[in-house]
Amino acid sequence: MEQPASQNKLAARQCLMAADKFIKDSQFVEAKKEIEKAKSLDPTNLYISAFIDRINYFEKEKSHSAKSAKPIPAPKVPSAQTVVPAQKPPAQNVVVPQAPKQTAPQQVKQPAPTNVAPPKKAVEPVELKQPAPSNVAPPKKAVEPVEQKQPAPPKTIEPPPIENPIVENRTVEIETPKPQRTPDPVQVTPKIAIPDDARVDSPVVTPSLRNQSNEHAVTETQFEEMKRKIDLLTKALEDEKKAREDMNRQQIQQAITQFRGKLEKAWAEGAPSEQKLIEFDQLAVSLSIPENVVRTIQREVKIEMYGRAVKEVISKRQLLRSSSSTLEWLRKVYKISMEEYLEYESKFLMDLVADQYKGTILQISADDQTKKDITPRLKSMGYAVVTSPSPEDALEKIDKLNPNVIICESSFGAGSISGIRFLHILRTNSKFSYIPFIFLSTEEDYALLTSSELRPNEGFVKKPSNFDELSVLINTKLLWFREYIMSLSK
Amino acid sequence: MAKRILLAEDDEDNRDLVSFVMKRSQMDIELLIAENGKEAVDLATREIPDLILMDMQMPVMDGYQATLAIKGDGTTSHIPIIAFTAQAKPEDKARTLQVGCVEHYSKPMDPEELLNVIRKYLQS
Repeated sequence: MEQPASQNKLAARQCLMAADKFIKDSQFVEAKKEIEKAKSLDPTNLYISAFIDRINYFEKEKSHSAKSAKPIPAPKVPSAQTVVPAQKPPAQNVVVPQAPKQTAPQQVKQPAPTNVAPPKKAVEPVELKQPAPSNVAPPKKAVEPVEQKQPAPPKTIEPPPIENPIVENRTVEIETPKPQRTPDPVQVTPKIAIPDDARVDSPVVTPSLRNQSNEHAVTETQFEEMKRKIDLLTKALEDEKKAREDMNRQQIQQAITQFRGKLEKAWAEGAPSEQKLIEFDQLAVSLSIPENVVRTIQREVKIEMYGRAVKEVISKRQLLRSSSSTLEWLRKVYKISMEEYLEYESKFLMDLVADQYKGTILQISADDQTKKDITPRLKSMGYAVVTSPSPEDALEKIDKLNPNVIICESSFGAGSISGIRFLHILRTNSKFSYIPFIFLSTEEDYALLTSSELRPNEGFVKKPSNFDELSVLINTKLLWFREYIMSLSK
Repeated sequence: MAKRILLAEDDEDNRDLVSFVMKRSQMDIELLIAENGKEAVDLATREIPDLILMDMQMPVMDGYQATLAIKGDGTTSHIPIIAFTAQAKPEDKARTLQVGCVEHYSKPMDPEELLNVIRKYLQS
């Protein structure tokens, strides 16, 4: 039948108490057995590992003492979970005197007893090669110290319990003694009894540990402050680095833009001469543009310029004997390899599709700047554009031309009818009254046109016209016109 | 030194296309433009180009008349004139050669082909 957990815990504690006794007697094998028992009874007992640490520590010290007669520092509490040391660390700096009446001078092979009381009387010096065994009875009289490196005997203290075992845990870990370190004059008493239940549950800390705990807290504060400063410095460095990177990026970007602009100009009408290309390489070097970037830009510009040329020539394809032979010729002009052409074939084909003939636009304008701004862009969109300088001239052409869209200035100079009058004339003719008609309005006519009752096929944009706005208006009016034609066929 | 070619052509798109091709010909060419036959005669007399591309169907003065005028002028008679026309019938070709053109090039154009013809007469 399984024992209740509380009974197991109690039994485990008793095992630990027994182990403690064995440790005091340097009977580590037995102590280990008791610890194993305790472990099997209550694996959650936090003191088991502390006991194991103690045993390991004392065993190590014992073997070290056996090898060397040199004194070593007194051990401190080896584990955080150790309530109090049940045994004084082996004597290292103090050679324990022997009472001459009770014991003959002898060679001590075992470490000094941990619970030896200070001698009451001086005794004859004895030859002592090894510390006294731990089970040697304490002398009744004080004896003369044979050798004393540290005059002050260890003080016996009653360490107060600490409230937070975690603090003690951390403190004690920091306090793990180093063999070369000078021992702390305030040492834990070896006479502290085996921990009873209360003590097992109440960890204690020495004043030195408390001091060191405070020191540790101060160190932590300093550490936090240093960390904060490091963070600030790191951030400042990162900001500076980012700013420099941004600046470099901007400089490189400017250099690339400059280089690209010049390159585009040179490639606008085909591949530049070898001499020109060498000059561009030198320019790239002077602008500190990396060679791989230069090659990429050159390739991009070449392809882009070729693409533009294709677009331009395709808009005039009806004037060409063969589009394919023209494209072949352009490939030679722009030194586009077949691989490059195939790589970008889809793009070029898209250009061809996009530039399919969309219709004919009759553009009526006496303003050269307006024609210069709008006409090429309409053509590049795929429209055939016929220009006319005046409404009168347009009236002569319109019947033969049969345009899909009319774009007309709202006003013309003296001696010519206005665009608005021209629209009224077209409205009277059933053949032309439904052709999409778009005014390029002056500032003066804008208010008039805004308040006018225009038909669905009619519209206007203000000069200087935004081409995108004009383009949208053309498409809208064409869409209306197609729907209107379809409605007639139904 | 750049060779100067006079293009007599009334159609804007055709002018643009020839100009487009000339710019990309990788030849050192200066293009002079005339929009009708009369302008072509005036420009030829004034500028003495190295070669003339003449559209035969133009307003004001057609290409045939303009060619006759240029060939009839001692200062311009040496200039080779290439007929640049949409009329491709044999009789049209014969007529252009008759008025003094050295070559009959029929539209629509093939850039490579046109440039080869131009090179031929500029070299000679």
